[in-house]
Amino acid sequence: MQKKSTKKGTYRSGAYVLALAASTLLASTLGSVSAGASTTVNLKMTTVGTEPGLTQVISNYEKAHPGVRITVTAIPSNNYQSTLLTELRGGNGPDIMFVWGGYGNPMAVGELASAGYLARLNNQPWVPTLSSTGKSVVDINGAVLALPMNYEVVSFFYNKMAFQKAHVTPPASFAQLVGDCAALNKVGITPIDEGNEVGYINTLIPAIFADDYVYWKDPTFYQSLAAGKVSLANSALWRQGIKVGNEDYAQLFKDHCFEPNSTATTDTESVAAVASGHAGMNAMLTEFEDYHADNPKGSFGSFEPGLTGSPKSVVLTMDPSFLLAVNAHSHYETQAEAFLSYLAQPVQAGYLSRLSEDIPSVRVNGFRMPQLFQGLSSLINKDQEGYYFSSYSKSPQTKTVWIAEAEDIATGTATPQQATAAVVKTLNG
Amino acid sequence: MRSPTARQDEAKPVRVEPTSTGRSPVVGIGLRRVRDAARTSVHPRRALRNGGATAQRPGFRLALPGLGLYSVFVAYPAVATAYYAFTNWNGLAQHWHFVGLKNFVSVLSSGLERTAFTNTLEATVGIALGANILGLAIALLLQKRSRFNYVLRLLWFLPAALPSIVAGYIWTFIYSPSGPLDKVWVLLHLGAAPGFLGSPNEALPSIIAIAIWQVSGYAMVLLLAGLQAIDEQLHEAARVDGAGVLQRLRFVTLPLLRPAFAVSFVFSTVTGLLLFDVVVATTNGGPGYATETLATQLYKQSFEYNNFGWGMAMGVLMGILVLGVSAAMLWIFNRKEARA
Amino acid sequence: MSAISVWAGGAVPARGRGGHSIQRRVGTLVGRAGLAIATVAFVSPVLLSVEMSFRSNTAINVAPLAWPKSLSLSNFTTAWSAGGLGQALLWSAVIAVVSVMWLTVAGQVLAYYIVRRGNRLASVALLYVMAGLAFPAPSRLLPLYELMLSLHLIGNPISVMLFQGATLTPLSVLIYRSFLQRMPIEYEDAAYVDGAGHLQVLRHVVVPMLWPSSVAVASLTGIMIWNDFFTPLLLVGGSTYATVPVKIYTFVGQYTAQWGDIFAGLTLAVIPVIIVFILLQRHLVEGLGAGLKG
Repeated sequence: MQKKSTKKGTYRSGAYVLALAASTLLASTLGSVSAGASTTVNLKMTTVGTEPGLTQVISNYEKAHPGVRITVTAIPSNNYQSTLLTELRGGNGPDIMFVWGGYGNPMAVGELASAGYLARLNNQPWVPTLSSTGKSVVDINGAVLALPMNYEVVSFFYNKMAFQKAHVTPPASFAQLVGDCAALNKVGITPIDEGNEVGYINTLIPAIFADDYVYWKDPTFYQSLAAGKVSLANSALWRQGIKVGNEDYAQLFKDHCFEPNSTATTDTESVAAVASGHAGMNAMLTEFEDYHADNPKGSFGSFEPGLTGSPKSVVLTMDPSFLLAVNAHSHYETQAEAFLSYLAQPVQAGYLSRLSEDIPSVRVNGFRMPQLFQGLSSLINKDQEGYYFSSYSKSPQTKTVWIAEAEDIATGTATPQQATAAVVKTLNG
Repeated sequence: MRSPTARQDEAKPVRVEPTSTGRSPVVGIGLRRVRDAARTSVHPRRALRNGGATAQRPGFRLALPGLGLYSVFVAYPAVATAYYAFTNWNGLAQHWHFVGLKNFVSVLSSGLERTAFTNTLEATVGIALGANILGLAIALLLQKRSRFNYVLRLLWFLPAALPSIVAGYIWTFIYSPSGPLDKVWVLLHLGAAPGFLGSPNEALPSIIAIAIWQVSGYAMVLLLAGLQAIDEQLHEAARVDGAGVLQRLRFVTLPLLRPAFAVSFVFSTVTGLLLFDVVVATTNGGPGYATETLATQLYKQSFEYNNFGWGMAMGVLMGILVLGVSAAMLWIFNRKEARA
Repeated sequence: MSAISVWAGGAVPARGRGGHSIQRRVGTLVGRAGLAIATVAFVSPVLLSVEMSFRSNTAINVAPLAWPKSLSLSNFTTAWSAGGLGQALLWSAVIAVVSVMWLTVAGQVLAYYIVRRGNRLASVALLYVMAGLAFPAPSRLLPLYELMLSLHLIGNPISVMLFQGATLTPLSVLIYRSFLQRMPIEYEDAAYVDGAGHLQVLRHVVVPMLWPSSVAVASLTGIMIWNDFFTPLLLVGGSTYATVPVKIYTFVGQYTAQWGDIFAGLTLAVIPVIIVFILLQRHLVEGLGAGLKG
């Protein structure tokens, strides 16, 4: 070894060790300083992704309450459950957390409540103002366990120009929907561009028709479900609903209603296809702003087809989408509940709902329904509300299995009978 | 005691000048000698056996810092978590029971796990072969030191620097029915374009392609490092012997790259066996169950289905599988080397 | 001819290859052009993500693959301020640098022990470390988190350094081990004869000679640490020490994601990676010159 390189080596490794020590020291001092410095109440809050407008609302709240600081950690949906579960099990959960309604996954209120993680919120001022849809998913055996901020509407959106070109009107029954498909195909427009690449979207159309069927046969079904008098697992009617939903879905494929290779199309692409008029319609969660954003000159509407043509077979499928719960082990339970009450006030609730394109669960007088929803206005806030199954199914596997089976229907890998059998099998856990 | 120059002395005799009587036998002998010289001179065990500094072996205390940190933050959590594999804990409740081997039996007898297992194996073989062949080709093409090659190396490594979730998102559009790949298909008159991520038969190969695209960057870096470690004089000697391009590749480069290949194969195999991110970012196991892997099942069972104990049993079985496969690979690569 | 000669040209310097110089040059040029085209095709998805970072979320939604009509920097400002990327870049860098240093130092020494000791205990140590590659991350999560909690390290970047340093030890050892096996022992023997101790041999012989593998270890583990998302989210998410990926993915929601902002953050995050890779490449050459041929 030559002398030069030896010297260089010594220098290099010396610098190496020094840098290692310096940066560790830096990290440790900075780490301890911020940990000890807080004198105000620091509320930790976690949400799935960034909730539009929440930062603004929080900064207003902090201005009005100087002793409180709220730190939001936004976690992508794919990592939410594992992150939160690990924190909760370690006894280090956030004070306020995003949860799902009902049962059906470990971060749903029903499941968390059984393990004693959630604070009871029955005495909060906003509880009496909840819509029935909102309340039904947070009320577990008489205990209100979360604030449902708003819910999504599962409906069809259509391009009015495309429908005019094919001389069709929004269908009022399943049979009319099939007829519209033929007419749209004839003029070279893809009838339904569904974005089936995205898992949950696969289940929207089957769920719409399953809900319609159940409502048609028993108009009080959803009230009984909300009151806990029936459960999806025990209901023969709901099993039949799954069957009808899957059969209708398969029928639409048979009648060439969808774009080719729909399981490779993303929701983004399918919204763009409808917005541009290449496709006539699709079934989505509330995404009305997106159609206008994609094509500002376009004209769009929404509809619920119903099953038989009778108004008694039409029910609007709802899915509570933004629920917040308070950690039962939080040191700042009172402060956390105070912040939730602030969010539930009409000004905040209306603002957040509008930004996330949803409908508020708490009463907001004069909430301006988006124009695109006019086709559905006869159904909203009436008794004709059904629920997207995932919040009401006690088995966590029902949703994922139905997604997989609906994909199998879409690609012709499974018959509706096989798919129904697989979904029904999950209902009992 | 050998001097550091022993290796060069050994390499010298193989520089046989090409003779007029015919090249091939000489080439053959010469190449074998090059190979043998390379091996004997650098294989540590052999060197030790031949009277190396046997007394000067490093003591266990050198291993302590590395082993210590690893034991606390990797080995301990892995062992501690195995405890849950023998319970029926759902991941939330305050109480649980021991259920013995029930979870393991249940994992091994599940039909969906078998699908996930075959998918994972298919992906593993595809990724290991694809990434290493591509990585080798690129490493060979770019091994010369030139500015042009430095830039290209950086570019070929870039996909590896992209997080999988982002890679998945971009490729979803590249594979989409009206996407660029479809247009290429039409342009080249290849007939109807495949369904890619949307088709039950093509979704898995499409995901494997994304993984190869990312892992080949790692393979390239490892193999480049391996190429740099090859003594140029061996190449030179073989060339003087009259070995052609392909012969040099076959008899000098590839055998000497074996250690780099050992790492690269183990790395890409482990990536395949634990394949998760790309699947979640593209199909999340669909269409149907066509792209479910062991890792996606593990995650869903543990964190979405309230089957924490079951998921941990799966984790233990996967650990044994991965450890077995990677140990076997290292053993094969080592044995071949020792035999030569 | 040209393609093959590029292929096998290898580390063999061009000297002694007289003749056909024009033909060769044209051949090289054609080979290079082909290679450049293949490279551009290969990295085009990466270029696409950079391109997306200049477009609005709406524009991406309308046509994910279209050419941008106008370049907008608004995603960058959003990602920078709302995502708090400046601070995240700093902490990502500190965490990556410290972890990589640990992995190159401790991993190298551990591999040195395993290879040069060569007895049964060393084989057991190798197998023990290899087992760390095998167990999927989610299954180790809960005990790891509880451990960090009891050490009061949740929300402290040291927890991420400890985790990364430990988790990537197997890969580091694996890489160093295979290159050490190939390394002639004579240099070390000579140093021992001269009276050097283990640490001196390591510093003056092994480290310089293993420089190419250190570059490989640093670039591979460095990238993995830089991009790792899940564990940093768990350990320092919500604190002021969140790393870049933890910040970037806050833009992924339950049903929607602001991809323009994500790609802007990503583009900013990839710049340090490129710089480091370029620097490492230079060192790769230097290290070889100083070590093996020195």
